[in-house]
Amino acid sequence: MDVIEQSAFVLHSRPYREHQQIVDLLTEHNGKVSAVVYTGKTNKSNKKGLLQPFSPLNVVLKGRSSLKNLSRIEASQKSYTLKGDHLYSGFYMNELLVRLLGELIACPSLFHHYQLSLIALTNQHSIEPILRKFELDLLDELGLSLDFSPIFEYEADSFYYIAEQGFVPSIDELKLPKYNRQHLQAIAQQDLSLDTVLRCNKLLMRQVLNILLGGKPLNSRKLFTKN
Amino acid sequence: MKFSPLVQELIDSLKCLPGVGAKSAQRMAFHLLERNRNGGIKLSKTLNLAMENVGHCQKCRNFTEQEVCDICQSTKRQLLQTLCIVEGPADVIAIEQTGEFQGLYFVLMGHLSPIDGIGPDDLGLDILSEQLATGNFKEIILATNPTVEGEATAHFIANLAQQYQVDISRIAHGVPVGSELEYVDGNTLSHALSGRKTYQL
Repeated sequence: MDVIEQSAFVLHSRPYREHQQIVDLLTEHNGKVSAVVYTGKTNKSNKKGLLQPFSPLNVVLKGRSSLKNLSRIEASQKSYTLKGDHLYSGFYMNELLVRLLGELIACPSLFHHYQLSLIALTNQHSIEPILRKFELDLLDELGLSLDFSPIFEYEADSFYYIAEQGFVPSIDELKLPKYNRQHLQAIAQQDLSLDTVLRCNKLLMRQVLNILLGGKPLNSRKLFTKN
Repeated sequence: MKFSPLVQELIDSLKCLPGVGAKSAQRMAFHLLERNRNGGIKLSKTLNLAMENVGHCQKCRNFTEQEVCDICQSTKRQLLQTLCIVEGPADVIAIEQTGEFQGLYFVLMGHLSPIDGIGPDDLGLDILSEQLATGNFKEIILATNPTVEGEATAHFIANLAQQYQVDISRIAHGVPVGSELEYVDGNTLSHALSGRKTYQL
């Protein structure tokens, strides 16, 4: 692995030994990387302030094994200050990335989309369209893009989404959520202006992601439902 | 070579301490056995007593062997009607040492961290709601750590506390005493600037 400086975001960090942390990073050129970083015990060498989520960093990674060493770390810009539900949405994106993304697979476009989503969240834009867009980008990156073509080919009022098959016209009664054809068409065309479409998109994504997550619930969702 | 079973068991038991591996555990065991029997016996007794008797305070969730801890029992503190919400027992000690705060505490024993699987249910927020519902408090101070997770926790609790008639405040962010501005990280500095106070003459 070349020693280069690149942009990165901290997704998650956990303490390791006395003065170290293991951080999960989303980097521009190496994708998701786990790295050990010495956080220091004196005030001057303390890097914990830098190692916060949603803070754009410049990092240099070293090491040949999959667990890298974080040899240099600097803030590249002011960190994105998210508040309330927007902050919880940030956690939601991080949790998705930590759980679904494979390690050390370059994903520059996803990195770019992640940063754009954070900017949109910082600017207090409406949350749902941002998250739906991000989920689609993540699915693209995982090579599991939704194939919307059956919706335009088949003349059915509603469709099911079945794992590994995609959209199937609802002819037989199945114990699965049904999606309205017009709503799906709007989603395919990225037109999320209607509330009903957003709702349909949310249910669809929840079903698709639940399959990928192996049925284990996302913890960050709990933050939203309580309030 | 193998140690006798009891010595080996002692070493293995010591390994449950954080930051203690095989070698350190071995060193500790030998030290206690060879040089400090009395200390070892005292440790074993206290450890046993503490493990069996120490629980959480019913009001503030701090560690105590009583049902309600000394701080929560103090009538002088109850009169102030202020509740300081902190992440851990060490934070209570830190704030107590300043002598600035005379009210009551609530210890969350952690912060919201979805990726680690710590959600609102793990922080005893139901007990906190009960406390607030009694109407004994006029102000709550959110003293969670100035990390992203601490901020999220503070926001979550503030949302929860809104329905009860209490003032909600958050501890200030600032530059540490004795530090130099050029070494302070940008986030802290921008918080310190945006949260600046008018100069009192």
